[in-house]
Amino acid sequence: MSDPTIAFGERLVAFLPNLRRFAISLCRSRDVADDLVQAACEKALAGSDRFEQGTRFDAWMFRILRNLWIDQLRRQKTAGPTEEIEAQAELAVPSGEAGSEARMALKSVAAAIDGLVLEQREVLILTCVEELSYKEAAEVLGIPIGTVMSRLARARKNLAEATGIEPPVARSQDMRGGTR
Amino acid sequence: MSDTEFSDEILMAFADGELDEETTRRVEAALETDDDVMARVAMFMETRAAASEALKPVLDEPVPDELVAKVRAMAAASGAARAADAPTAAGDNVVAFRRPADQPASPRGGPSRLLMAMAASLLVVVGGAGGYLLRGGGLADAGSVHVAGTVGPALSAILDQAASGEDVAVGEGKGTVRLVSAFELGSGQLCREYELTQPGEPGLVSVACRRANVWQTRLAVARPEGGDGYAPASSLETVDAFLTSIGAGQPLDADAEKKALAASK
Repeated sequence: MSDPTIAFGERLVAFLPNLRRFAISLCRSRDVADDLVQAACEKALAGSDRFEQGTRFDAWMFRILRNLWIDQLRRQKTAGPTEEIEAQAELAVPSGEAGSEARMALKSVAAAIDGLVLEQREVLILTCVEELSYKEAAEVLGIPIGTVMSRLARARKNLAEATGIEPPVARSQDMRGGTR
Repeated sequence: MSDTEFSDEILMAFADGELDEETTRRVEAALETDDDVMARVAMFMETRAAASEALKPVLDEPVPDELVAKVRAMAAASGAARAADAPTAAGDNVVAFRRPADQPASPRGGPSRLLMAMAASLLVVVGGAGGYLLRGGGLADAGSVHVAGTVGPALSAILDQAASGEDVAVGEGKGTVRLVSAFELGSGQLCREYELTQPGEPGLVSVACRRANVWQTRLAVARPEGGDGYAPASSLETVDAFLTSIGAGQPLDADAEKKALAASK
């Protein structure tokens, strides 16, 4: 019979790609992200008793990782900007064999996501990419659901604008434009 | 219906399948008639799909071996420390840890799952005046994405006349339309599902509805292409999801279809 902590560790390992993806989009640098992921795993292992059965493991891990990142940001307010700029180009190039047109499209969307402010970026990743519900995202981020929704709507409008996904304006004579 | 009735948050929650039933019904009703509401909902669906697609490659990157090794080592160390502390009654825990799937289950139920399928593969919705603005990546150079355009005359004539099951050529070498079905919405409006194949373009599955003798495209999705890129969830699932969301009835049988097509609406 295997040790529960080992099982927990294997579960963590299986979850690493998602955790790492969230970390990369938070800190926009793979190196920083890998350190962050490691720190989050350490913390999760130390507190594995506190994981409540029946709740979402992914949400729990995202919360740990995200709190670590926020702490880190607070501690090193001065060290940020230079790293972030080079990191943008890095994230923007997806690996894989997609056709060049598709690659261009992905690139622009990834770049646009990178261009969002952190509070919009994180809520977008959690809901639209990691498929957490609004409520789960609210718990990860420690904010009310209403705030999740308003940030998320803003994030998506910004993303749409930056990538050319725009609702058409006034297509027929009797139609008013949108509310914007 | 005035679209100012719906805030961005409401339409977003609809697109995400997080809206309560009552408001969902109101949005669905608005979708039948209000192109602006449709466009705004589509924007939220497309941004979700786009974000998800754009970051998918990161998930496929190999996690650095070093990181995996470190996590395993930490787990082993923490396990050893714990075992020394207090022998654990392992059995239950192991089972309990493993039971919930690591893959996030969709947190939503009901119509949302349908909409999720739709969002996942909604690539581009067709532009007006017969211009098929479909592009491979869906988002590459679609300067603006049109929803619910007017179907061009050649295609309209086909939609007006051809029976479901037929293949009809559009113009010379411009492509083929395969009529899939005809059905009515709750409001009695006649709609058709068809597939469009054009040389050099991804195939398209589309739904158009007729109002005042004019066919309006309500949905068009690319058929998944095999092999390269990240094929979206089945476009047919998307179409089904869409049909459900607009309250489509069962496909009409041949006679009923002929009558419906002949009737002016």
